[in-house]
Amino acid sequence: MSKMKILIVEDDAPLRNLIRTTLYTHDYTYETAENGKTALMIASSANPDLVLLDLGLPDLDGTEVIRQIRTWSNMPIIVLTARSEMSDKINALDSGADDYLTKPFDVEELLARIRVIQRRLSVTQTRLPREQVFVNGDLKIDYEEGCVYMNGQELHLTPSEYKLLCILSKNVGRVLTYRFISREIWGNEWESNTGSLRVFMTTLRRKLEKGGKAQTYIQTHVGVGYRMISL
Amino acid sequence: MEEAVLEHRGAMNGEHILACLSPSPTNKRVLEEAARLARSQDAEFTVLYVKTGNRNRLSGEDTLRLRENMDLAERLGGRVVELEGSDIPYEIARYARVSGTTRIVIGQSAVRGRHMFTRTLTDRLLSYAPEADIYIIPDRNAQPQNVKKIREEIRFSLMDILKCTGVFLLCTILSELFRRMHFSEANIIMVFILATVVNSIITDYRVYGLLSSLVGVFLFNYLFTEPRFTLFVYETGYQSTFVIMFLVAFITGNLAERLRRSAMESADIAYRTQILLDTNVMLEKIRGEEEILGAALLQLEKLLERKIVFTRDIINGPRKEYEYTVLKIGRREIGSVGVDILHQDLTSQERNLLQSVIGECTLALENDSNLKAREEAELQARSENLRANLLRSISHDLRTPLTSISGHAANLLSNEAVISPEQRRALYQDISDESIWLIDLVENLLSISRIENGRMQLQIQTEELSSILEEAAGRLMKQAKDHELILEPSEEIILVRADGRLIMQVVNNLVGNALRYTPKGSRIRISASQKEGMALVCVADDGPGIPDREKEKIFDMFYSISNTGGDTVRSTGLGLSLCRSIVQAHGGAIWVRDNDPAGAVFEFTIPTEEIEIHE
Repeated sequence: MSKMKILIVEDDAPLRNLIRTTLYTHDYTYETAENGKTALMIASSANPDLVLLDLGLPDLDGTEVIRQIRTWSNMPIIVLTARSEMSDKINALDSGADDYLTKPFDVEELLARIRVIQRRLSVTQTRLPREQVFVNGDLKIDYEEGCVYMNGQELHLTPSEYKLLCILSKNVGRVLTYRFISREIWGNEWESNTGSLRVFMTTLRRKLEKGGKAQTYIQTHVGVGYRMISL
Repeated sequence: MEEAVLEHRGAMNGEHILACLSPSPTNKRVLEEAARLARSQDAEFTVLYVKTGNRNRLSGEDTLRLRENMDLAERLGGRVVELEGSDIPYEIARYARVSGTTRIVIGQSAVRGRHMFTRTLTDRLLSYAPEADIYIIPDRNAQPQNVKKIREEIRFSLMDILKCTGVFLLCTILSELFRRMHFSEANIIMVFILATVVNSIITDYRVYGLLSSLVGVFLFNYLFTEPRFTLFVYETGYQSTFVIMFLVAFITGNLAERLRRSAMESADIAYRTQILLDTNVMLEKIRGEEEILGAALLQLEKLLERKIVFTRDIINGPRKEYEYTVLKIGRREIGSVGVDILHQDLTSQERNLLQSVIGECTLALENDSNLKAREEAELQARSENLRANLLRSISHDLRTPLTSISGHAANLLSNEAVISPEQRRALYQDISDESIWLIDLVENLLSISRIENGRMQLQIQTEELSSILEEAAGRLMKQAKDHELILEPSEEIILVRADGRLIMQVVNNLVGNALRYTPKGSRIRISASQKEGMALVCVADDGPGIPDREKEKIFDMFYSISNTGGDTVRSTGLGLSLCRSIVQAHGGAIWVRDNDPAGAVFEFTIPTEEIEIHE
């Protein structure tokens, strides 16, 4: 596996230090930025593989940084937030962030999230751009046929469950907000969809778990959204 | 003005002065005094005129003077309000109550009793409006009382004349019968008196009673006294018979008519009282300004059978197709109620109803706003108290873990070489454990900070209970290395209306407590079920359990069980209290019971949700 280059954007020195030490001890290369403007500059010049972005920056709003990066790049972005910024977190995800970590976070957790991104990058790099079959662990989705297989056995999903699975699989590794999913499935962001979404998600997860080993394919991020993890 | 103040009772804040308008020439002085009073007190100034129904019409001279007085009132900066009603003091008092009047200014001419035996206007005003001060402006000009004389309008209606004629026809036939049967004349006289009384009752104006008495006497004279069919009499005693007959008929007729009128009035008053009572009972049950307004407007719409509108603008009087009345809470004008008068003007009856309902609505709104203010003050006091306790408890509880974290770190920095690798590991572990404890504490504090005015601010969404429990259990697994933590899967899908993160925190606190208070190796089970619109979450352990006397108290803030675990267990006494706040804010309940054979079971409920699935 090639070495990943990670851009750390964090204005708090001790925390920046912590992340830097963690990445250093795990053989990642890194760049650091203390504010949004420097971050944008390094992001465009050094072309990092991943950005760890603190939302509360002194000069620019973190969400703004995401939006600017997204105008020219699809590089993965993990957002670091304090818990009280719940809505900021969702806004950040909706603006194009891939994942989030809530402070105070575990170092192990940080590394796990980086590995998720890393895996996704290696998968997408090897995969053809318009692939018709999605494979993740024992799960196989044939987009062309509209069929889902677990361990080679076909799963019977309702149209809504299938749609939901497709949205998650096409964004594997990304945390998708309720708003995003709702818009993708129903074309609107109505509150009333939430209940339906919960039911479909629960039945979908049960079908996935019944078909294969007791593996978790879909993570729940309470109050935020869902993510399919790449195994 | 000093001598003008004859009566002065209990003062109130928020001055509103009400002057009573009348067509009396002395009324100008009343208005001027009231305006002066209003200016000196910087008070609101309203001038009220009570029209006494269509029975009593004013003479042309009085109408002119009334107009002049109204103009004067407006020039003096008063707001002129016209009301209709037969009972002047009652109307004044009612208006005073509705508008939040603090002082009523009234002229002496109005006070002077018209009926010797009825109570004076002031007395009645005092009993109807005990909250207001009443100022009586003396009438020094001593105008002759004929100003107040009210002339009755004589109106002939064909219907009334037909009725009277019919009654007289019947009584004539009856009398003729009596005469043929040789009954004494006294019977015939009685029949005519009866006819007069009946006429007084069935007709609307007093003049018919008078006319009936006269016609009765003449008919009797013409038809039944010798010589018949002339207005002459042979016997001399008849003149006095006629006079007495006339007087008896007139007086009885008058009495009967008055009786009828007062019966009508009392029926009217009873009806209004009933409406007021109904409205009052209805409004009393309702809380909140919007709700009270809505109910009152609905009631008005039902009673008046007209379209009712409400606007936040302050409009008084007719505007386009609506007639508006300003609605107030104390001195605060909150908007105007408009009644549809496109097709028909309001009758006095309707105006009275409107005033009554608006009066009740105002009272209900005032009560509601007072209650709200009191509750807010109480909450404020309680949350101040809560905050103080919280600060005290936290600063104490933060000190211990911070001491060990900073102590361990300092030791490691200066004596790293001396400390053995095993010891070092133990110190690292302590630092890590203490930090986790601090993190939990901060999480709880953040949640507590969401309690505003004693109520938790929730971000309610539809959530699937098992995924919340899975997520919570997943996070706890790492802390539960030395315990057996089991999440029992539920077969059904339980949807709840909840703030997912807060419910996670409740589970986190309950399991955290179980981990802290049960010995290593204990088993902790999390399970969920649903019943009758409520979801039940169970966190059961097989530890030492909780003694009965502690069961009630453990949910109180800053309470932590003493003598269990000694120094090794630390608790802020925040966790369970927070759990209770969160669960109650969701509309659920939390309690603890004994596990079988040993241990404690914490259970809480939250409302489930029925949904329509959007495919």
